[in-house]
Amino acid sequence: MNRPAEVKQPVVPVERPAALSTEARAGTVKSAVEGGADTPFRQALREFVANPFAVFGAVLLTLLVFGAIFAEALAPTNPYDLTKLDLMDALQPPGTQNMDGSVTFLLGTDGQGRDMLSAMLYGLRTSILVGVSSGVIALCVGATIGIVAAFFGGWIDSFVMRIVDLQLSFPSILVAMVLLALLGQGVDKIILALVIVQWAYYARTVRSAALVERSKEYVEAAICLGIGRTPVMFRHMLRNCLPPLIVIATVQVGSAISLEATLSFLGLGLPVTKPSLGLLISNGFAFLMSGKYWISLYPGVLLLVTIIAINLVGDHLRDILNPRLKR
Amino acid sequence: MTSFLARRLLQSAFVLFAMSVLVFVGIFAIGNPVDVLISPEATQADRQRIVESLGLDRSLIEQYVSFVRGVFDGDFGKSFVFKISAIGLILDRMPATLELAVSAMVLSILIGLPLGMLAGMHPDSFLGRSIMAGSIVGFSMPTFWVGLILILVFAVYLGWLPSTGRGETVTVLGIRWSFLTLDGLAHLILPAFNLALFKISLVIRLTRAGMRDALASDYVRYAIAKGLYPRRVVMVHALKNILIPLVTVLGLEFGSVIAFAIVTETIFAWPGTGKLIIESISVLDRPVIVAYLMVIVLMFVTINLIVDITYSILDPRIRIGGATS
Repeated sequence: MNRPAEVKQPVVPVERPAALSTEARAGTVKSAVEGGADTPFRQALREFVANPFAVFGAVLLTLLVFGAIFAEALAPTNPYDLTKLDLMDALQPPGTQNMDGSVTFLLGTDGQGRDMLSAMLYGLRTSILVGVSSGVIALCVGATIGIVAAFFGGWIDSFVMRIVDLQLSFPSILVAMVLLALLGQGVDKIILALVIVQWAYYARTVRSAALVERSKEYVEAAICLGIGRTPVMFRHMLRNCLPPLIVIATVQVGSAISLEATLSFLGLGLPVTKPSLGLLISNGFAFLMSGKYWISLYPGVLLLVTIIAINLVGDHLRDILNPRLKR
Repeated sequence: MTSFLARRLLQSAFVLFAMSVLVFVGIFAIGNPVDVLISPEATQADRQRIVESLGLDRSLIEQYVSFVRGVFDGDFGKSFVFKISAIGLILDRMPATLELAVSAMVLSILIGLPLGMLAGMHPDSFLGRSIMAGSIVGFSMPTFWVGLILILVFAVYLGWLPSTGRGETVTVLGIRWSFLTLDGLAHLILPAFNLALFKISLVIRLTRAGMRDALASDYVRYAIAKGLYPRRVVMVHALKNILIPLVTVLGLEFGSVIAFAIVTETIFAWPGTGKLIIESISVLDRPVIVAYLMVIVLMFVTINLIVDITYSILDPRIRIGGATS
């Protein structure tokens, strides 16, 4: 997300082994990606920049995140300030002119006279917040479980993978729906449900990457040197499992945003007081049949653009980071 | 083959048992259905009587045991709301959902397979790249939003196709079907396409990847060198090998089509099981929720089983590997 920071990262002296120099900053995917000033990272960055679609997706994504973070400053009105709402403004089509020819509601208003553009910016923030936070938590949980399963093997491994297989054999929307029926509505509830839905993908990915690393000599060497199991797993092995993890994380955040929108549309996700893009679309559904398209259409376009931007980036990250394609 | 079958059947039975416990305990934890079902004015005696008649006063284990006993008699309990058998209610709605899901699968193969083969044969051409770009868009579009746009364009603005319900149905073998009448077909097109869109993208990608692998392989080069028509090589030799992963994925995806039908049915007011479960969740109609989930679980387990068996027939290495290990 924070692209300029990558460039400003201090270059780590080359003579130090890469494994040690980046050790201090390991832990999160972001720091590992940005901090690795070693050649593979630069090479990946160069390959990434060479693809116009990927750069387009990355720029678009940066703009969207910027818009979501600074929604208060950018939105023309505060859509949730009830004192500012006027029912006289309800259901104005996009670009309706005031008496003096100026335009207050660029993208029209909804049934309560709320400015759609402002509601969309606030909604985007909720959508991205839910998608990213559930993705990050699921990544931490899934990666930990996956790497522990791969490291210890035996019954722990088969037990964990049975659960993963079982869960992945059911579609995520069904699992999330049942969970939300149990948990009720709320931002924390939907994040929890999305974490439970997603952790298995991360666990499976990390496990299969870690199994390969487990048999390598550096792990053997680290264990022989008397380094504890935890540092071996999380400092040494996890770093080498990062490429597939980054790819799956990108894709999963996109699908989490989409899933949240779908659940909110069905009335199972977020409370009405904190509408995401999905809930905005759902609100507009009632007006769709009478041709008042803008209430559903524009939040949907924004949702689509967000997901496409994420998928463009994810798709090309996969091409870059997949060693099988480099033969 | 026999030991492979036996092992898979045993696994399936265990999954069914585990899921029934999970579902039952999970549903048990959802708020108290009595609060939803009984009016606040009811007297304490009335409440007590209804709680007892629904069996809600017994312990969780007792309720589970009587539930399992009922299941073996084909009885999943009575719907709290409709007062009729929960499983009957679901089976009554199931044909509509299956009709929608099967139509969507057929559409996804009819559209996705040729496009994917084209993209695989000409990966660097404009056509190939456009198909792939289209599939990324198809992957990215949330099902429910596409449904809204389809309604907006084809029902509201163009007025070509209806947007709600199943239309005219014909009763064949005691079940009502939409796809046998012109009106029913018109009602089916939009929801089926809506549901198929994601799978079309999936089929395109799988077919393209499979085609590229196949065309680079030795057996295809050998077949070409032997002087077979390229057309025959692609349509017979390559296609057969592409179909193996495709069968697996599509088989497994059939369950997810049924699950996503919940969304499509809600948008297009299609009277199937998906609409029923959303309504049941909102009123906490426990027997219907449990019965629906168990039917879905059974369906998933069966699909997984069928896919595994088909797979082992298509690719004997799986079966042999499974038997020796």
